[in-house]
Amino acid sequence: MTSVIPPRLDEPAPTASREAVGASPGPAKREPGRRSWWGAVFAGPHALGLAIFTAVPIVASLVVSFMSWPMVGERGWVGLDNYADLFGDPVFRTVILNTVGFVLLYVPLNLVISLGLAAWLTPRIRHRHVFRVLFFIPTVTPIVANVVVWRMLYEPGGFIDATLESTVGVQAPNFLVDENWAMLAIVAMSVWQGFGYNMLLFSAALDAVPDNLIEAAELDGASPWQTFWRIKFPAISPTIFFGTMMTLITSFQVFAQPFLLTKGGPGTSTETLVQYIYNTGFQVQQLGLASAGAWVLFVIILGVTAVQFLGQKRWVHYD
Amino acid sequence: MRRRLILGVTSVATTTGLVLTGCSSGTNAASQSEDSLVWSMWISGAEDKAAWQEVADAVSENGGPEVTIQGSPWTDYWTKLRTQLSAGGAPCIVSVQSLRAANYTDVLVPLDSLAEEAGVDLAEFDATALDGMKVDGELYALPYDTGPVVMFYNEDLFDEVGAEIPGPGWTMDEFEAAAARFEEAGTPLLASTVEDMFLESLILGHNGGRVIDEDGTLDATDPTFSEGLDWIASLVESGQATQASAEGTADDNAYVNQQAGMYVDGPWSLLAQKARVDFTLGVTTIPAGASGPSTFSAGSGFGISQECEHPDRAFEAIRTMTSEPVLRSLAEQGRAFPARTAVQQVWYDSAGIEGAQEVLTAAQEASVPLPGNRQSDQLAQLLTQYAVQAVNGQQSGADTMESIAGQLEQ
Repeated sequence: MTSVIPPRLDEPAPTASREAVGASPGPAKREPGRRSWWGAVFAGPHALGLAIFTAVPIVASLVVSFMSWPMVGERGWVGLDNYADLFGDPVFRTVILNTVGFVLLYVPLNLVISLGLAAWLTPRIRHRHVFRVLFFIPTVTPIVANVVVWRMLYEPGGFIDATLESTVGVQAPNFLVDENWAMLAIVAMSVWQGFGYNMLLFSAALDAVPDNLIEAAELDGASPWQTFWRIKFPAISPTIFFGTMMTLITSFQVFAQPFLLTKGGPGTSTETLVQYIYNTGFQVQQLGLASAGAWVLFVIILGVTAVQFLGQKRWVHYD
Repeated sequence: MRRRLILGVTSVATTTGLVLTGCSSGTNAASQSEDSLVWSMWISGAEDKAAWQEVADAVSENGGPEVTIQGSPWTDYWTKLRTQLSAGGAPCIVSVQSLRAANYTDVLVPLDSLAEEAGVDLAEFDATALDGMKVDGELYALPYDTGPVVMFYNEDLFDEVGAEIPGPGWTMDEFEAAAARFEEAGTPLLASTVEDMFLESLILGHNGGRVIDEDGTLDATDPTFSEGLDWIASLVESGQATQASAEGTADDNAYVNQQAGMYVDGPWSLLAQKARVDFTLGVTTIPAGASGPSTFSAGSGFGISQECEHPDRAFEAIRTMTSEPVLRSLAEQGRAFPARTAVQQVWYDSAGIEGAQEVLTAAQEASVPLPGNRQSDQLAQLLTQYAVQAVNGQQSGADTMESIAGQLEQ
């Protein structure tokens, strides 16, 4: 950048270029280390938005979580009672297990499928952009619309049931109301809905892997399998790390799919943590208890994220 | 340096000002004045909205305040209303459903004295409709519609399988005979539901079991109700009823798509369903079991929130909104079975369904209002989650209701 600006003749070159970049010509010499207020001014609106719409609500919800706060009625300080109530509630334990179960099934499936498809969609595949768009469509269509279609697949007499009946002659289980199948059905739908984003991410990262590295590996006699795991995978590991993190965080917050497909049933077998928070807040109308639930979720996500960051040193390569 | 500081402070202050005014000058939907009130209503589409807009317009045409509708879909309506009430932004006029009236007594204005002052003759309203809007003897809303829960059937399908057409007051034996004919033909007779009001009505008719007592107390472990669930499960098992789903419209759809012969619904959906189906739609009472014919009735009306600063004007508005001309026009459109007895005939005439009047009169006579409870919304949610297991035979009725009771106690 500095090379395009001709150095001024009356001053030593390095100072001149610094002046030009700083864009503050003037007779007064600036003291080193002094800050300009302009930075604060430009950061102001965002900082203010962050304070009003993020920091204040977070602190408020923490305060509310220590209070008995019915939607209408007397509010009062209850200390840790809400948390004690939560951990004493068998339904709360069930929803935590359900959420963890969903995450354990969904995240690996999502990553394997998205990475697999991204690896397959090399520039050598004809019309790869068509496939990319196809795989990405579920991610951009509204979940509510997807749910309507998936319900038609899952219903008794629906696509899966009817196909099995007419070909093999067996009846499919009633996926959405069968305890053993409901969560799997939701995971399947969620993976279909969610893998497109990661696939696009990984696909773009794979395209950016320098060709000379791959050529060098091929010249050394590496098989495609070796090339992928020894060259491409380490090269895109920061992207995979990012994708894994985001997928983990959003999957802990899963709500729409079970809420729309099963309403959390049968029983509580697909009720997730966020639905529990929603029900507690808006049906039982105990905002204090709901806030406590939200903080439990926050701590879980924080913990998982922290573990991920610690673990990344082992497999993420930034150079 | 000083100039910069001042500039910085000023611009931060200006931004703060902008953000704050942005917050406060946003349209406050609940803004109210003597001449302009907001009415929150469940709205399901453009056509629905147009019909209710006419009701709102009728108020100002009669010299009342201007009424602005704030609509939301049925399922979100109650969540939104509760949130508005707790946040202090509730509209003046709120629509209330009879079985949820008890949930809202703490935020609604009792109407008895207002009605008396205004000289409203409450005797002109259908007694069941009016009772549904009363909690502990006090009236909380003026009803606009009412109706006993009934069953819609597919007459063509009944003929096809050779089952006898069910008349009003038909019995459980006749129901079982029809179910057997349907089973032979390989089609379920009943489209199952786990929606609170419809499930509760069907079981009430079957054996008198109920989860909410006459006085509105919840008794989820009532053994008769559990037996009722087991009975539906036996129908499902033998293929006489469809499997239940957590989706509230599954039974409607199964019926419309001719996958089942009949289902439970209220008269408020009769004309809409008649327009949807391409077979002859019939309507009949819930089959009468051991305890004689019985069903629940429910209706909706308009109340005034306690936050309303102009309750007199709001009462003027809801009085017009439930007046004879307005209810007549709603009846002509088949939108609501009127809560005023004088115009109920108009609804029958415009419905054009054979025997509807006889059936509804019989059902209305046999009906009791479905009492509300503070936990009605929660009960409805728990039924969709748990009752599917009972109906589909994965769990006994008693175990299911035990789980529900356990959650309600908290």
